[in-house]
Amino acid sequence: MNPAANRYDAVIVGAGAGGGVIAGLLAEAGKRVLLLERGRSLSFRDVGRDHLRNQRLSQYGNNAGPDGPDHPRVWTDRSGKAYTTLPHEGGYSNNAACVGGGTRVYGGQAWRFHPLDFRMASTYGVPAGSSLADWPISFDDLAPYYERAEHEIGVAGDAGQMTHLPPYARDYPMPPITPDSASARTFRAGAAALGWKTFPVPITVNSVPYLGRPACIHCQHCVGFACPVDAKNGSQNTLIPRALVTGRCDLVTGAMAERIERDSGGRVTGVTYWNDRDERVTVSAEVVVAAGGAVETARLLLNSGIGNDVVGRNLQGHSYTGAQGLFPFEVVDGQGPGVSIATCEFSHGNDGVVGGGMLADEFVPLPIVVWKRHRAPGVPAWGAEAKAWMRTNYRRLMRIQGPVQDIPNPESRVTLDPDVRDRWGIPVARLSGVTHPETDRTAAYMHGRADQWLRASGAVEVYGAPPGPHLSAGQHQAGTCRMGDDPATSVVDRHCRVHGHDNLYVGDGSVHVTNGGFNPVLTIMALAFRTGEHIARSW
Amino acid sequence: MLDDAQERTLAAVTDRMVPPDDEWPGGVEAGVLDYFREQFARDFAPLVPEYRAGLDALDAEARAASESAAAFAGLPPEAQDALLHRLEQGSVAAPDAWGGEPQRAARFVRRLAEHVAEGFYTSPTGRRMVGFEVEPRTGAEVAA
Repeated sequence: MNPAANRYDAVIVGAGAGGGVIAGLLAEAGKRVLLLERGRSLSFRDVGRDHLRNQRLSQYGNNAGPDGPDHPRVWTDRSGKAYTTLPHEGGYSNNAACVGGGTRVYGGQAWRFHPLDFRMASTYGVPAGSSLADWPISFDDLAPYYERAEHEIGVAGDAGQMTHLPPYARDYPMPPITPDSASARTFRAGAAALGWKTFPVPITVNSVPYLGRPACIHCQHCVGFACPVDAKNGSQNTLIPRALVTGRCDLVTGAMAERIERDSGGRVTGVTYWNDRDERVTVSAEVVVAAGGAVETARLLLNSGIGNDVVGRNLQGHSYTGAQGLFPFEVVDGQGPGVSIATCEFSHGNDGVVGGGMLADEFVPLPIVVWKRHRAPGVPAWGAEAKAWMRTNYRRLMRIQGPVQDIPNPESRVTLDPDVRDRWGIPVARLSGVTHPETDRTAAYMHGRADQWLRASGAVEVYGAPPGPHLSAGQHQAGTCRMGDDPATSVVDRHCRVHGHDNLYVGDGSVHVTNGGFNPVLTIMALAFRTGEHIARSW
Repeated sequence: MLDDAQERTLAAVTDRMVPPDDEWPGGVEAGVLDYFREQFARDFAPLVPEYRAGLDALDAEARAASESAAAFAGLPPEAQDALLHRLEQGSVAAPDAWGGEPQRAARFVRRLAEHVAEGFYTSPTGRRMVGFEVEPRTGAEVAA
């Protein structure tokens, strides 16, 4: 290998929502960038349409990486018993491992966090046993970068209706995608009866042709799958191609990062990784960005001996809470993506609970998902009655749900497992801890609000239970390298630079102090725009 | 994977779990047995011994319940349903067939029901029945 090829201005570990954005910005700023991705570049056909092996239902496998046996993890149950798990299994908390990361197959709800989501401790106080804290930056600091993400990734929505937020400087670049779906009409009427405001869900799917790619064809395989016409926007079809077209970004897939190298002082010097021919490669760089997601970034830092005791703590995803409603008429009209209406009436200001959350309707559900997760109580597990119930009710069922603000706690964490190694001999992530009781209480509250909305909208039967204590990570994983001004209580500073290491940044959801009452990807992208801009300007 | 008798029993159970009706085919016609064949070589491989033993046990239960029946598949549909319901409730007539662990019977019926549903609701027939797309709108625009 040409030694010059092993020197870069920046090495970015992880080609997902954050890493892909930073790669694009740095390459366009003239930097030579190496973008490492442990997964592969996945075509539409690679991702496939297997209803039992996808990011929505990983019953027997997944469709966006990582490959199972090479990448085990360990999780511990509430009694502390440890289990070695594979990516498609529950305790693993998989998101994805491929070019684009989770954005290759996500639903793409593209929410700005609420201003109070950045000020949870000031607003609510710090519940006992939690590490709830304010972000060191505000909504206003991030607003310009939300706007960049909305325009450069591509979001469809209607800013004029987002009245729970400060006014937008620019509207979304595309109109809402299915603002008058059967579901939207149903829940708009229900909300009106309750006096609640609703609006279309902002989503990274083209409602009209945008940035050279076509509009959505409204197929029914959106969330959990790749788009057949490339109308779903992620880093893999926006900022990563922008990086590559400069000629200054090398994208290396099948690259498993082992450690971040550093000198005897505070500077990092590069990254050692295993390439897809199982060769161990060390590359040097002026700047390193860890962007492997909240689990793998924490693991990489821990394996590198970098950072303080806060690294890996405050692991959080989202307690997703909601309820299922059965209607006497069709609420699923089959127009994908499906999710089309939301309310933010309960994002904050709910008596007696900490925070709250957004509620929205659901993507077009896979029939097998309805069978496994959304059958009404009393429907038999087999036989003519079960079959008739599915036939009659599949299109009459709708779920109202949303993520609640998880209240972080330091005992939910990523550590290194002392025994289990991956295929390359690298210690794997061990996940432990459960949701804070206040998270569970807020989830129960929001479950009640979902129930209320369903009934007001005409549901004749409402069922489902709020989640109890559980390990919260998964696709919305965040928090393990939290941002803060105090190096004793945080991992990165307000520019997402690791305390004590001038040239090491974190570019994923790990830096979230709290994870908002919304799907977090637009915040991950906005922070990546901000971090990428900061790196490019400061060096 | 399965012998002929076990195959016959699995087919009979499959069509009780998702029975044919006036409008829509049952599990067998929808291809659920193909799903089992594929999965026995894949994710269900560790379950093959349980399936073989469980399907044999269904035949033993059929014989224990009816002097005239040679096997589960030979019972009339109503009797097949009654037999499965009985096992679900933990009432076992041929305990030896379950290795002396009658709780295995209910677990096996639950497992069968879930696996048959997986095969059916991921099949074109099952998807078409509920109103989920079968021939996706991909057309010539599909990127490879």
